[in-house]
Amino acid sequence: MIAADQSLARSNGRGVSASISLKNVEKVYGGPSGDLHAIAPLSIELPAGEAVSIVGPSGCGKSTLMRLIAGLDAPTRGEIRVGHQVVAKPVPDIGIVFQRDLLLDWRKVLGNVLLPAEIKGLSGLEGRARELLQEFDVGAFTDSYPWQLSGGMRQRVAIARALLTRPALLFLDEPFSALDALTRDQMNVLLQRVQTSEGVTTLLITHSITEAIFCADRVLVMSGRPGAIMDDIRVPFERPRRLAIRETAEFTSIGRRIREHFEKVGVLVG
Amino acid sequence: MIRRFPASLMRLRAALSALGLITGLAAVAPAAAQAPTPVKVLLDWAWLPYHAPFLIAQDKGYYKEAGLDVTLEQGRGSATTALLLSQGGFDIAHLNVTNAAQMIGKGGAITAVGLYQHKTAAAFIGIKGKAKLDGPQSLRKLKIGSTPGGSDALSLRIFTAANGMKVSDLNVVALDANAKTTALFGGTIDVVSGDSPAFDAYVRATGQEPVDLHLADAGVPLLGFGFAVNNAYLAKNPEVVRKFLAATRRGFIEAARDLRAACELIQAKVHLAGTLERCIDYNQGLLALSTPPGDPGWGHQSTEEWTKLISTLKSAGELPGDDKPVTTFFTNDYVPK
Amino acid sequence: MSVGTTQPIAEVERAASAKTPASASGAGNLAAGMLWPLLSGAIGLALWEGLVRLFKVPVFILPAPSQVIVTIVEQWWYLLSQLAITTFAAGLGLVMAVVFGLAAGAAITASRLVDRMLTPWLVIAHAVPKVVIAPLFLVWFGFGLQSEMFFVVAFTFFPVIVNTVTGLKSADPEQILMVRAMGATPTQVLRKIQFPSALPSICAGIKLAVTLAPVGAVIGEFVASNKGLGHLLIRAVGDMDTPLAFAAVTVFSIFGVLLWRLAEWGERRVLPWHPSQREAFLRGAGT
Repeated sequence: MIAADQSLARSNGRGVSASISLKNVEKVYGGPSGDLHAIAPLSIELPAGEAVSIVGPSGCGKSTLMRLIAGLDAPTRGEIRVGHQVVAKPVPDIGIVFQRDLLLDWRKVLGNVLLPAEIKGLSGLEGRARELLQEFDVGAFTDSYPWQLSGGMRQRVAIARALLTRPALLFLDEPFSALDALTRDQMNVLLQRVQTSEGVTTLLITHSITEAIFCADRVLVMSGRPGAIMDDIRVPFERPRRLAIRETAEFTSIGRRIREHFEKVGVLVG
Repeated sequence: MIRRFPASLMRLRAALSALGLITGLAAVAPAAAQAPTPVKVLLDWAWLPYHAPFLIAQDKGYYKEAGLDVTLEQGRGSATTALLLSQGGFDIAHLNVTNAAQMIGKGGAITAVGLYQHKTAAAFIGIKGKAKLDGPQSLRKLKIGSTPGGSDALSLRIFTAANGMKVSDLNVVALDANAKTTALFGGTIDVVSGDSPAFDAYVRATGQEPVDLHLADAGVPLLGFGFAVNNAYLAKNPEVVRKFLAATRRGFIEAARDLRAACELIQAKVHLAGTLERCIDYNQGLLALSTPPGDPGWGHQSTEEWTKLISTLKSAGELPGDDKPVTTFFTNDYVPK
Repeated sequence: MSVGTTQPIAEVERAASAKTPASASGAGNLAAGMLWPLLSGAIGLALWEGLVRLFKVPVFILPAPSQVIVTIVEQWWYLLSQLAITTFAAGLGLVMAVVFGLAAGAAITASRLVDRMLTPWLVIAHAVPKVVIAPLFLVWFGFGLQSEMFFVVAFTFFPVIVNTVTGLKSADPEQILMVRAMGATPTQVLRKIQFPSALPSICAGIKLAVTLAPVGAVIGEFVASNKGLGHLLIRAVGDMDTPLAFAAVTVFSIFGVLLWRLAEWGERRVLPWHPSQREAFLRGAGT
């Protein structure tokens, strides 16, 4: 496991992030009407510092996969390693951003960002918290309550919270699905910039093909029942990225490739 | 023979006399010099005019002279007082002896040690001109206010049995104790079933005249106020009980001698409501049913009245438990002779 | 390093409106809010006074407001000293009930077994008419503070427990999952998520308890204490000193209103973030 003090030993914002390795990982849920294969045997290697998107339809197992890697659930078969250590219990050094921001109503924004430090018993991170909020353009609301912020701002706070303790992994489970399209685009730009500056291994789960490509170095295309990786696409664009790249031919060709996968398996009909 | 003593011898004599006086006083003083014995006394109810004697005994130092440090606690009805006394929460109680008898019948370890009100105060009280009370049978035509579960419910039952009636023959309106007075003045009832000293005083305080039918004169041999002691306490402190009764009697005597001063004292000390006149009236009503405090036999209980009480209660089904000898209920060993 | 592009206008507007106070005339509203109730009260009192004088109602049946006020003024020390005793008992009992209620509520939430074994007793204890058990308390505990205190607890524990359980159970399961993923221990989950989530409900329960506590103390005093406002009341009624009884009831009612206000003030301090307090928050502090 990546020690907390190790992850804090970063002077320039970049530091120790972890690699992810899955070998023949399978997840089967036993049920009254027979077994449900959520994830078929799956193997993949994700190097440290890489930004990876998983795109797939609802129920394809992408959230399950994230939970398995995070140690919140155990695989039926196979082995998962984070930073070369086998995952047998919840991995402590992960920042997670959920679809709901899950900010605590009773704490001000700063208090929310500092929550992971309190839980883990780490001190001295208040400066970093303020910096992150400033960086995400919500610094003016540091002493406000969450209800005073809009949805997009709240998710920024949630991302700041996830990054507070300089985790080795950053997981985002459909973090922008609840936001309006324009805000969502804004958040995409924010996310890829953050990932670049923090250099943390990032796993983004999304429904949106465009988002998957824009925010990642590598896109894993998943289909469901059982969950399997249909394609593993490298995204060649340089950072920092601008929204305009979405209209380039290279971008749209990747998008087409993904879309064709979904059409083939019947997820999209069009 | 005239002796002439030298001056020095005179001085020695004076010194010896003084010494003798001091020694003599010292011999007498121990009782007063020792710490007074604490005694916890429970009254029958919250402060009412007839509790004045106790306050006088405290105020004038009768208890102190007897070597007692008496704490008076207000009660919540003689039945509850009898129960609390039997549990040992208090040492001595001032209460309605009929309730004490019932407690003893139930097995409560208390004994009646004195009785000064030999006639029950239970009565029917109405307002002159508004109710006609001539004899027990006239009750049939009147609306009677009574407190279910209260002491007057018991006296009502015994009254009807003693006069060849059934309670169902009477028009009884169930009222909370506090509501009875208002109901009487408001005219919703014709007579109140309750204690005559209290209601007579209330009626007269409004400038009207009461009419009474005393149950003691109508075949109801229930007893009134007296004193009871917790048996365990009595066994350990017989002298204290004696002294308490003697000192309390002094309070009763003093109160009877000057009711006005007594009422002034109690009103000032415990925030008693009502006028001075009402307080005096109330006390006079109770005195009329009691042995005069100055009487040598004050507090003395007769086997005859106790036997009558016990058999009346038994036949009314109000005395539970096995038959106990009448001597378990009372004793005269501690009253002032 | 800023994002570069401007924030969507909708976001900015929403954020701005959340920070500026709602249009309220502040002091003007307060005056209007008090004017009509005061006027209504004055009319009611005048009617009462008039009726009593007109029909020459005896003072021991229904005293006139003027008589009650005179009594309050004349006996203010007696009334206040007895009120203090009642308040003390109510306060002590309330503290006990809150401590017990929070602990029992937490235990019931944490364990199904505790829930199944304890809840029936609590429901029975709550359902028994308190006036019936008051004489029993007298016999068990004697006259005085201890009886009163237990009586207050009997009156107030149930709303505290019920609201604690409801509040704790209303904690967002996803928030709990989130902090568990951060590595939170069960104690941390309780302290940092469940308890703060439960606070609005707990506050509601305590507000109820605060208003019930003096009532419990007074009823306890009717039967089991020789001090306090309840004792004063029972003696006044028994002695037919109706003006004093009314005076006591008036003082008690005013006290009850003040207590309620105090409880609301406390709630505002504890829950500035709650939707119920947001308007006041904006009007008052602003960030």
